[in-house]
Amino acid sequence: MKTRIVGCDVALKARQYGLTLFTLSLFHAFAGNAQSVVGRWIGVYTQYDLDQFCTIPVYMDLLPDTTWRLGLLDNTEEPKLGKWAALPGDTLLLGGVRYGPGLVFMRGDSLRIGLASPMIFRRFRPVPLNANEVWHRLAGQVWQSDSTQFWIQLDGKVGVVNRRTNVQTIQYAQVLNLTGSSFWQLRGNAFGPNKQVHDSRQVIHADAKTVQFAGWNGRNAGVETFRWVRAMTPRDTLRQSGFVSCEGCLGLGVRFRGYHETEQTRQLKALFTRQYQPVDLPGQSGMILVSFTINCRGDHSSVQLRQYNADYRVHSFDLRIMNQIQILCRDRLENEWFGFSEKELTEGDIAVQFTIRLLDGRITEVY
Amino acid sequence: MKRPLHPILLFTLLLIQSFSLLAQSPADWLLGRFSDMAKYTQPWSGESSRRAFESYGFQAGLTRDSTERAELLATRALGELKFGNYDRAFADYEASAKLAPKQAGQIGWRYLFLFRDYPRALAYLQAYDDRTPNFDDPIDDYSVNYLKGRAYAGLGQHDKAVQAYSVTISDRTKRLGAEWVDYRYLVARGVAYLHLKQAAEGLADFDAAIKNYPKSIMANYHKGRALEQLGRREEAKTAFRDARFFLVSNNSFERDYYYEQPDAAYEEDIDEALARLK
Repeated sequence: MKTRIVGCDVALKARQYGLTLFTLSLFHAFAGNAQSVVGRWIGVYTQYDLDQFCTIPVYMDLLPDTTWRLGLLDNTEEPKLGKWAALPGDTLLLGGVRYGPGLVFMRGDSLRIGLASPMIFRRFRPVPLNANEVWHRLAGQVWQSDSTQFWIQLDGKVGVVNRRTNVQTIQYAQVLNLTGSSFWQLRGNAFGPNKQVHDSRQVIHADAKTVQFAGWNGRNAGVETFRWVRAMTPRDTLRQSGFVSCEGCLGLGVRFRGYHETEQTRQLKALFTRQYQPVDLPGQSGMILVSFTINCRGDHSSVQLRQYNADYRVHSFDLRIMNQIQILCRDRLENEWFGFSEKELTEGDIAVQFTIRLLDGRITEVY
Repeated sequence: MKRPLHPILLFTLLLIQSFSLLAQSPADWLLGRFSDMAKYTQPWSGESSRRAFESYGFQAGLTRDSTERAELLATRALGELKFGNYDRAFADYEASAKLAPKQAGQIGWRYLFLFRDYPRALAYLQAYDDRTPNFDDPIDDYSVNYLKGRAYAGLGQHDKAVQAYSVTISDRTKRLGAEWVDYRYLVARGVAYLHLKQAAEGLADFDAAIKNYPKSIMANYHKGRALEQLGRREEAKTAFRDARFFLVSNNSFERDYYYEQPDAAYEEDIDEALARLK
């Protein structure tokens, strides 16, 4: 078993680091060439983790007079100003932060800042398009890309429908103007248009049947085409499918609840100990991790149950155990109020997790 | 190469990070990203990311320094725990302990507090303690004998728990004086005495604990239990009321930075006790 685990590690490492090296090989070190970075850059995405990317809805100016400016595309905050400079030794100074050798790479019109969790920018290419006109083409219509359908209401509310799963997510669209060019942004969730930007791309072409965007679509960076499907009708209603979290990339995900307990959580956990009927099943030992999220409105996500045997390997417990646990989760966790204050909830989503420990089919501890 | 962070420091950073980033404006968040970029050429474990933890495994494969390798594996194991890959986490911990036997203490700590797997916790804690049998080694904030006592208590072996707690209490009393004995150790031994129906010994420990930390809810609550076992009902009521007073004024039960105290007293426990003595 150990060999298999090590084998997995090696395969994973090879894939992960092979990809990183391949990606890096496409970039060139900054090499202290000041002229090469002068100009306006548009944020594409930042990579937090192996599988976690967020769009970065900003522009960044590196002006010839050494002014460095970082602004939000929607212009809702004053741009941050500072100085930039190309320093000897392949070093770049941006707004008072010094990036040493190996931290800034350029490849054609792409600029990569950082190595561990990089930010990717692309050189801004103006495409004169009137933002109002683009919006009037998009609004009140249904558009689709290869993977997604966008039901865009006149008031900006959008039903983003995954074409494979048919899951619909509510967001809010707008078309922004940046020095004569247009940018499409999707933000917010079913509860309203908040600051969380999910999609931020430059519009590079718009006609009655197609609209093209340049930027990051959540999976790839490049050009993507939306094709017109039909006009929205009064019968088209937008409806969020399932649970929606309040936080997005800018909020850095779900708030870690830590090990904080309340009387209510303790009582609820005690329910498992009291209401679970022990089953005499020798060998049915290990633990079940119960986890779910409560969003800022107090709604619960579905409850995730992860099962491990006594040696901490992923496992499936006997149905006589799991049926009981699932019923308790369904009937009690999803209906009982967890006692979080309104203040706690409005601060963001809350992740809740606890563990049920089993020995031969009996619950020994819930913690 | 950047060394992995100490696990407690790492937990602290994760916690601080998760709370401190809530109220940022988008522009501030982005500026924060810019300054982060400059700091780290290696994934930083404080990011709590799969990428960061995977990189420790990668670095561990490269280094020939067994102590450094052990630390890297132990840090990766912490990430694996976070993501629920327990089998991989403990494989890393075991490999780490083989390379650097002192890692056994950390592993015992994880089994005890995160998994409540008392037999495994005890095996690792004992292995750690056996390295220097005449010394009460520390593991993070705790003494190894206190942790062994907790593992014995989890197994229901309260007599052995008393023995283990006594080692650390005596050691600290001798070295530092009775007033410097951690009140949690005294409460733990007192509770073990209650399980053994030795209420008088328990009461002495709770009194000593209250002397060292008068506002302790759990020390007052368990003192009430000891007095109740001894048939001193009025004094028991006073102790329970004191516990309730401190619980209300603290607005919380007792916990350390990460965990509820295993002997913590809750409002319902105290109310139940007071109702019993009406």
